[in-house]
Amino acid sequence: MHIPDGFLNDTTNITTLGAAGVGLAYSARKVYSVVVEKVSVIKARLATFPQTNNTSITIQNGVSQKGREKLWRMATVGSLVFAMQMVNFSITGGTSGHLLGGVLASLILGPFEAMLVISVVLATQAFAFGDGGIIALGANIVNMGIIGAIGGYYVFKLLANIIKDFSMTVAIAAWLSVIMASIGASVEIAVSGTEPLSVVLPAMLTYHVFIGLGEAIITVAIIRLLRKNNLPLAVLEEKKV
Amino acid sequence: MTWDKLCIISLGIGGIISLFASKNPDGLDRVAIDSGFDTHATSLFPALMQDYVFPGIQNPALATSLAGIAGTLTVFAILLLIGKILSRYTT
Repeated sequence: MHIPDGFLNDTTNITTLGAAGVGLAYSARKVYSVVVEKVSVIKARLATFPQTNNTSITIQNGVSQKGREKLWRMATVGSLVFAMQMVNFSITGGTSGHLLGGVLASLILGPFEAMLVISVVLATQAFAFGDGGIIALGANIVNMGIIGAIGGYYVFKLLANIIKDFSMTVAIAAWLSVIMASIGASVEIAVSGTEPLSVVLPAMLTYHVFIGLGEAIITVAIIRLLRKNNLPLAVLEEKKV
Repeated sequence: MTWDKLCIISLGIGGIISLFASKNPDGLDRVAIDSGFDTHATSLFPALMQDYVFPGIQNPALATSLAGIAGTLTVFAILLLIGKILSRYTT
């Protein structure tokens, strides 16, 4: 669902770049506050006469052990999402789809960590692989990072109140995240005057109803694999607190 | 399985499983082709690994495989770098 350059007009490109920028700044702040915390630093000095106090303890901000683990996990999930996005699966009518990974990343890492991760994946694809536009990167971050990852996470949280089965909730949230992202892309293309919404929206939904099924199956499979191996998921850690 | 193994799995998916990916246009590309606005697509500059082909490699499968591995490693490296920068911001 990577929008190339040329599909959107200047107003839409600038608006979505702005929205993506705000989203990135907010997410970076959120992640910073999770990863960095006040830690005490003990500095030992050589004992010098007549000074008897040869160590000093200062409190300063630093990356906590949990924070360091989280940063490594973000890099791991990012590489997984990039690799998975290369694997297009066939759906009906000579069309394919691939994992977006928004819900997958946000369940593992948390919504704002996932938004940063998805944005890095999209930027790498745009700059190094010509997959998705450079100027349209803002729109793609809005669709797959903000709507897909952050939106998808909160859809999951809402659904979790209603549906008891964990895997079923994951599946529906993953499916909905693709539908929501495809609506986002449709609206951006329509307001750019490229194609009327009455044409592009039904067409996009027709395909993404099926692509979303792939997203649901892959997301559930990976989440189950992680849980079976006792790898912690951010979405479940949060519940315990 | 651990997180480290997940990194290896990612490289495997990017380098090997990606060879079996469908070549058909994705949902958005399909809609663009059907509606005729696919011709609007432009690009500012040709990317180094345009269309997931590693430059200078004749064998198409190897070129895709190397592009997948390069991309997977790039994303990993950029995210670690962001982590490094975040942790430098100490007061």
